[in-house]
Amino acid sequence: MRLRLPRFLNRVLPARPWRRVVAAWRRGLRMRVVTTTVVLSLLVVALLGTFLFAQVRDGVLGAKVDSALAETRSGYQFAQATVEQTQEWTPGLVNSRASTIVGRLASGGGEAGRREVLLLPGPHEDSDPPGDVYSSYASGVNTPQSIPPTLRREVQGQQEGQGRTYWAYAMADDRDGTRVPALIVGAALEVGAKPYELYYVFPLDQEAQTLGLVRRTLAVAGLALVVLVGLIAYVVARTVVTPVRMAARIAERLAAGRLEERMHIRGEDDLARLAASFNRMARSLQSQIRRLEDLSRLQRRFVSDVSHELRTPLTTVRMAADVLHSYVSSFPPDVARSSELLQAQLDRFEDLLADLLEISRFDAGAAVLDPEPCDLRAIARRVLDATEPLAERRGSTLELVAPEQACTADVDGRRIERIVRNLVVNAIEHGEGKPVVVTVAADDEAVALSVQDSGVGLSPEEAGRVFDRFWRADPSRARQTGGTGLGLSIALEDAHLHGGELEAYGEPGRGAQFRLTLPRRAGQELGGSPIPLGPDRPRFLAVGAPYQRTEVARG
Amino acid sequence: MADRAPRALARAVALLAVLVLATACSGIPTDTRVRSSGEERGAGQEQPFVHQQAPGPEPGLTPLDVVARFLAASSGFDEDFATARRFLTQNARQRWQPTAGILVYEGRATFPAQPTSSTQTMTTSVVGRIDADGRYRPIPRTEIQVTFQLVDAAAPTPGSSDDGAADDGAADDGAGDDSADGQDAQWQLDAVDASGTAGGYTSLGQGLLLSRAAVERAMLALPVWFADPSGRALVPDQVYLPKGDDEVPAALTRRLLAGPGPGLQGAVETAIPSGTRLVDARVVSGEAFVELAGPVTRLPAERRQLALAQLGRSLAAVPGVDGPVQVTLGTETFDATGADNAFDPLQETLVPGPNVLVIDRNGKLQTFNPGDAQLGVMPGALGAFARPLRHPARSLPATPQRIAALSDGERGLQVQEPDGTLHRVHLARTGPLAPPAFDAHGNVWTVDRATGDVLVTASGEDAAAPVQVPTALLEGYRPWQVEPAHDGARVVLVLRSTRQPADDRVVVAAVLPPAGGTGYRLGGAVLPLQGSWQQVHDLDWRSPTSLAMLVVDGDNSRALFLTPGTVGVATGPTVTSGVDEITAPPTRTGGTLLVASSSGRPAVFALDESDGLSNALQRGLRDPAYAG
Repeated sequence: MRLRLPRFLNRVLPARPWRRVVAAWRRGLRMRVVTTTVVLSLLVVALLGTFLFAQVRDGVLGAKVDSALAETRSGYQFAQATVEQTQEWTPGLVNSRASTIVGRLASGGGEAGRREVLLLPGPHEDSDPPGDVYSSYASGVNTPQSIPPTLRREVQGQQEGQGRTYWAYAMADDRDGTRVPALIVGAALEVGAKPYELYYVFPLDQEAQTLGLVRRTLAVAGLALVVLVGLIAYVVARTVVTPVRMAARIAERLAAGRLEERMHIRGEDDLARLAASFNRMARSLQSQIRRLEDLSRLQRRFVSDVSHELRTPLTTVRMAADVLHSYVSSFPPDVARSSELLQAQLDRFEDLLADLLEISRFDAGAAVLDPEPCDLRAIARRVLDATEPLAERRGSTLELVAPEQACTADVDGRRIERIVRNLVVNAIEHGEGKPVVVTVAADDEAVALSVQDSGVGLSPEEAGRVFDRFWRADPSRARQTGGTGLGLSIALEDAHLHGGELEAYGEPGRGAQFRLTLPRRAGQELGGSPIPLGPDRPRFLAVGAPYQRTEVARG
Repeated sequence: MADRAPRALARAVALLAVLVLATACSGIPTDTRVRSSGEERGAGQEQPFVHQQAPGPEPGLTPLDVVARFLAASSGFDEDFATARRFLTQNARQRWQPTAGILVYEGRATFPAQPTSSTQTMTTSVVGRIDADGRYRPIPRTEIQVTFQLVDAAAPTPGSSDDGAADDGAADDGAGDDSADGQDAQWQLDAVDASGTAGGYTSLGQGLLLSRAAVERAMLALPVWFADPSGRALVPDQVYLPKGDDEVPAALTRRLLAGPGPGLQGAVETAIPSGTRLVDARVVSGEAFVELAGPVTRLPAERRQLALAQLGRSLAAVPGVDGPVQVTLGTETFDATGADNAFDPLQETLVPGPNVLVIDRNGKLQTFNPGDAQLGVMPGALGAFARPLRHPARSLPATPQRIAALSDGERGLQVQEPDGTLHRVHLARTGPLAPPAFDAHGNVWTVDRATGDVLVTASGEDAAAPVQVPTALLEGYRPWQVEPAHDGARVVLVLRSTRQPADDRVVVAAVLPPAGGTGYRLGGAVLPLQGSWQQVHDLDWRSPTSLAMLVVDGDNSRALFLTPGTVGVATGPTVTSGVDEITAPPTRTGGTLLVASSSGRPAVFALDESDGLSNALQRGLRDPAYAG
């Protein structure tokens, strides 16, 4: 059953406190160290306290039992001596002696008033002379009923003259009317041939007070010890963990790119050596990263420069090739064929150069977004219209699944269209003549577009690398559409430029799915996507559907 | 930084050393410093009261067992007679009034009937009765028969009653449970009949039947204190209360508020006015606390002081009280401790010195110091008296110094006044006079043994006047000796039989002051003393509550120590034959008793209660007399 807390507590207490505690436990080394130390020390203190208390209790009660037994034996001997002085007995004399013995024993020796003496006659027997009455005598508030029956049976069963004492713990009456724990010692006695039982009742209230004091002292001392150990653990953990935590924070900053961050070195201990090593590592990393950055920058610069430098001669070559191509009809067939090849390769070279320049702009951070409200459905339709001939050639059908209402977002329409075209062309190219489904959807936060084919598909590893530059899933497979190998990289950069996501999912032999998710408004954080990705992706068409472009409107 | 580490290390070592030393010092102290635990008071120092619990009903008991156990359980004051009630039938329980009084019997009771008979008759001797107000009244030893009627609890109840006042419809009093332990006897006691016996006991409705031993074991004789008519001295009045009862302070205070018993009626008064209510009385840690309300809160200062003295001295005797007595009257609280000192003619202890008067072998009056047995010259006319003297007496130190002695063959009573003048206040015609004695007012008492007249010579008077003695006391007896108590409110009177020898009676009587032209009278409910003796040689007040007597016991003399108003049987050491005089120091706490033989070879001895006589302190001396 779940505990329902009052409303005000819900306001005061943090939501899901248990998870917070677990999270704090997982994250906080100091908390784990202190808590573990406190729990372990509490366990040790509890065990040790229990052991010590048991020892003290046994010691206190043992001393009490020893003195009680000694006093009872002394009292028994006194009573025995008193009884032996009398030869002729009458019931009245027996009672008188019994009363005297109790009075003398109660007032003499030991701590008078702190323990009580009872002298009880044995049970009535039919052989007792009629009219003889033997009373019980008690020096305090306890009555014969205060003596445990088991103890009485033991004492009554004792052989005559043995002088053995028996004892038991019991609850007895105190003078103030309360019940207190007591030690009761008994011995058998004969007064005038009448069996009597002599009992001493020793209240243990003082021992109980002593043990209570010991218990409280142990508890307070144990608690103080645990608190002390906790504090020590806290201090030690803080001493150790703080530099570690600082190292972690600095490592995070280093990871975030702040390569100039260093740990503060204090003292000459292990932590100082750790800090020094850490700093050396940071310096080394910084140096390596700087070198790699420089190299990367150099590469990007090289690519950019090469691309720009190639552009001018390419334009010249292009113009010359166009001139040659304009006379292709007059060329002999083998020369005309060469001119055609030159033209095609120049087209491809221009595309590659354009992509390289685009990548260079992204690398240089020069890509600029020009957002405006655009309906993703319209973009999808334009792309499908443009790629329909290619699909027909590949034998694939194109299907657009889009809602009736607009899927508008603040995006740079040119870049989004480039992404979608890239995805659709990719799907047609790898679709193996099977249908390609483009899905558009939107929710309050985001708009999304998914391109799904049923072609060769992707393995999870391939899906992870599909956006790498110049990466090919199957290098041996001939490029049929003349792609540059940079399309998906540029698409990913475009998506990121919008604050969106471009993700891929595929299964070998069962096709692939690419999903573009964009925030409705620029700068908005993405929380999810209106279109599922992965095994739950929608399947609208069966494999091998007829070659035609269809559009399915979804409400 | 290099030199910091050794310094920190040194500090740590020093701290560790201090801690180790502190730990080592936490053992059992062995220094010889003297420590005090403070004054111990209250519980733990008193003689513990031994509770008696008689065995209760059990299956298989005979009717005789039931009667015997009922009698044994009848002293169960501390358990409110719970055990005794379990032996009674329902009707008997309703009729039984255990607080109505106690008939005290002595000696072992005999039951001649068969143990299984449903009617058991006990034959025993009664010696007195304790009334509902706790005052003991001895009665002549009388053999009585008490009939116990038992019924078979298994059979239908016959509905008999011992006094014909059965109340069958009355509800159970709830004081007892038929089967407290689930083991009841077959026989139950339904009626007790002791009609016609002395002491007024006839049935269960008249109280308890207890042996003298049971009374002594289960009850406590305590004095409550009143004031003599002049308000100068406190007078004790013994009452009996159950022992082992937390209500003893309250019960004792109630007795005090109720006024004096019949033995002192007319002879004493109380400063606590009637209508005074007891609010609370208890003993806590050795201190007594009493709270009263009513008219006592409006007493003038002088009367209030007397009331505090009465309360203080009464409660100081309660077992467990060894500290102050705090008395709250209305809203004011007073410490009554020591308030009684102003109302006591006796000193706490005797001042050492020549405080005894003796007569030497020449009949001369001399002083005697028991400490060093030295004689001294007695100044004044009696010291220089030409003829032989006997039986000197001296007034108490708190009164003007008067000295008396017998002259003229013990027929003349000579009194030396404080101003030194000497009067012969009385001359008996034939018989000798009894040894004179002074009371708290300076009056000198004696008896004309030939006529039996009790004579008193008031302070300032030069002639003795007869004292009226109740005629009931004189039937067959004649006053032989009188000894006034130091408080002046009581006398102990030795009565010698006129019919048979060796049958002396001793009674304590109240002294009724002169009123309406009459002289002193003896009255109140005269309290006889009990003990075994044939004749009384001599007696003296040993303390305000007890007497020392020298009696003839067989061929020897025996010293007896008696407390009037108690059931205690007088016992004491046997002393040498011929010792026939005794005198006790006028103190509250006793002191050295002196005895003397007046015939043969006179000598003075010291007497110890347990050890008996000492060697003769001085030979050739007789008639030793402390003041009083």
